[in-house]
Amino acid sequence: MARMFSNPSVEWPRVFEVLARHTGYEARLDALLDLVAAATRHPVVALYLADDPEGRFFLARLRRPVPEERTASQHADGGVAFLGGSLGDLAREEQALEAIEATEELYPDSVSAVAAGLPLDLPRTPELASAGATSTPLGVLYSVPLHRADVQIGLVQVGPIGEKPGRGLRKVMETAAEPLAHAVALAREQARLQEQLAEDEARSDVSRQMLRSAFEPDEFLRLLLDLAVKASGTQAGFIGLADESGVIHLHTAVDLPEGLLDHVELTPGAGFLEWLDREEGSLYLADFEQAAALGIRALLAVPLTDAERVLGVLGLLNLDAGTTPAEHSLNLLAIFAEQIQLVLGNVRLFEAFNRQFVGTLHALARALDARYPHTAAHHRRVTDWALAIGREMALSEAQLQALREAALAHDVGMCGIVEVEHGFQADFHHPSIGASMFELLPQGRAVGEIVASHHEWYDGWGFPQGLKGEEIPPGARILALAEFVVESTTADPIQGAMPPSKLMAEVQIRRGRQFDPAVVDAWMAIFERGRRSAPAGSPFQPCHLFKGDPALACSTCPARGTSLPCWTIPEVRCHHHGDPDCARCFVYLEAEERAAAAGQSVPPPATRQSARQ
Amino acid sequence: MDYKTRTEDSRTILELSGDLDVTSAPALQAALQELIDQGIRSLIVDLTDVPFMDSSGLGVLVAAHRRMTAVGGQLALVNPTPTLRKVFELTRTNRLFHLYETLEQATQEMSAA
Repeated sequence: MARMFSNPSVEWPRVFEVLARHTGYEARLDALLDLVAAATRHPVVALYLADDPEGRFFLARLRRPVPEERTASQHADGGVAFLGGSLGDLAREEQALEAIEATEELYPDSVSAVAAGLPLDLPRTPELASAGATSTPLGVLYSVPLHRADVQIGLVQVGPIGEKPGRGLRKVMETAAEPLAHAVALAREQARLQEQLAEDEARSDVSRQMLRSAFEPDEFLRLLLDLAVKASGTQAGFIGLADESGVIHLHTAVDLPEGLLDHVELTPGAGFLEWLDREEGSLYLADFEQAAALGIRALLAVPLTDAERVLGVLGLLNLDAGTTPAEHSLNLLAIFAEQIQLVLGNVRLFEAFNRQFVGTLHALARALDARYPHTAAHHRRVTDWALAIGREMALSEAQLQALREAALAHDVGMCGIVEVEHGFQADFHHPSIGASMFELLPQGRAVGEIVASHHEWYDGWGFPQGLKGEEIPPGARILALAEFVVESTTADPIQGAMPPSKLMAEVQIRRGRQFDPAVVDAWMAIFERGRRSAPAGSPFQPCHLFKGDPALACSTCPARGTSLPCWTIPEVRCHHHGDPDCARCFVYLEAEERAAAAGQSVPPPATRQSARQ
Repeated sequence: MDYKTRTEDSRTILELSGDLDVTSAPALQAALQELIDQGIRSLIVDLTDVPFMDSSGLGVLVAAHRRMTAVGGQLALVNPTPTLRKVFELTRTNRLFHLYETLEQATQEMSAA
């Protein structure tokens, strides 16, 4: 739109006001040329720019009037057309005419510009390095160089003028040259940055897509298989994936009749498919009689491998005389096979990374446990109870796995806690801190939720969020009770372990309040079963298992592997994990209570050897 | 699939035409076995008129190649179409077969060997 400024000038404030008002590279250049046209009162303004300090100048933007009967470009208004956009790009082509012909349909004005003789590019000459009149098919134009830091970045041509530029024009352009040069350079730089950002975002989007393929591989595999079937023109397809032992199982199928491959052993070497060369990963169909019996007319088996192993097989098949794939279809198929390999490779890499990362969190949790003798193997003990409860409640394997991962590091958030005189500062936050470590992994959300909620109470009186009932993930409800049991059955410097009768009473008091009733019932069943089956006078569970088998203590303890009750062995090494006094230890207390209930007694704790060994 | 054999310069040329897939693989296998049983030790399989071959066709050629090699013979494949070449590449069997562009080339190389 041609703007008429009440006080047109091409000075710094005005120029940058134009930049601020407009977005988009081309719109900004148009507005700048408009400003020049208004300030100089000349309708034709051509802007040439160079890509490098020594290169040619390319016509970046042209403002000129158009005849009324012509339909102007989309920027036309009031009889003015702006040309540009691809003009600079066109001028970069080695064969400018070919480029123009190629874009004739798209940019008819550029063709007319060329037809008018206005050059699309200009050489960097001494004449153009200084202001002066220049003849063009659009008339004589006043050409003014644009400099930045002593480098000529382009030039602007204004007109048409008479033979020579008037004093007014010269004065306006003398003032305009510097701010115009800076404004144009700024607009270009911002446009370049936006392009770079768009590229980076696109690349990041592709990376996210590829990374997402590691998180949702099944979806991607099915999509890729679908595309592979379509690309090859075959009727059906499947992907078989190799497990850890190299056996290939059917994983994904498209348009495959149900049960077709149920009795087919897809693993190469088993008879149906064979390796021609295992190192090369070259594959062929050996048992075509079986294939014929299944009604398969043609089967193309493409191996899926990475540098280290066989990942699986991509199979495309026709069940009747379908379309024979052409070469270009097979080219596409090769691309899709490669993409499938990449997805599978990503999945494996990500799984390996995931294992390493979670393993590190578990190690960190173990390190926390080692801070004090009475916290030794805390995470291990909680995990053992949690998994026992989980199995009693018939959790699925996936749920048990998530519970295990969460339990082995449920207090890892304590790393973010500062110890103060009588406790810990911000103990309140450790579940959230721990959860945030797992949630760095996109597939760690379920584990993170268990960690985050393991101090929530069933009745909503827990922390940090005050979740209630079913809002608390099942794993967290289990973990809460497991940790209570471990802490209650641990003797610490302040108090001894809770005897089992009191433990069960406390758990029952908290049933429905702190703990999920179903979880309580499951734990009670396990605990009572274990006590009922324990031999009289012996621990209800081997003490090293009950204590979580802390390293370097129980492994060398004389109580291990002996049938003697541990508390009767003077050399027992329980003091290494916070049990200096057997009389305060749950293992002894439980055996004593159980014996008393049966009208029996147990030997008293032996006098312990005091020194650490 | 159809096939016919001819002899040229003491070499047997097996010309195939049609798709080589599960339905045609058994017949080709039988034909190749018969040629080997007859004592043919220099065999060229002309793939000019084979628009498509699947993994079962590959299997037949692999078996024939192995049997021929076991008796000290030679098996060459001539003039695979671009589609067939792509099948060899996709299944990674291209390096293991001698694929020749022309009959003359195959004949020369086999003579040199």
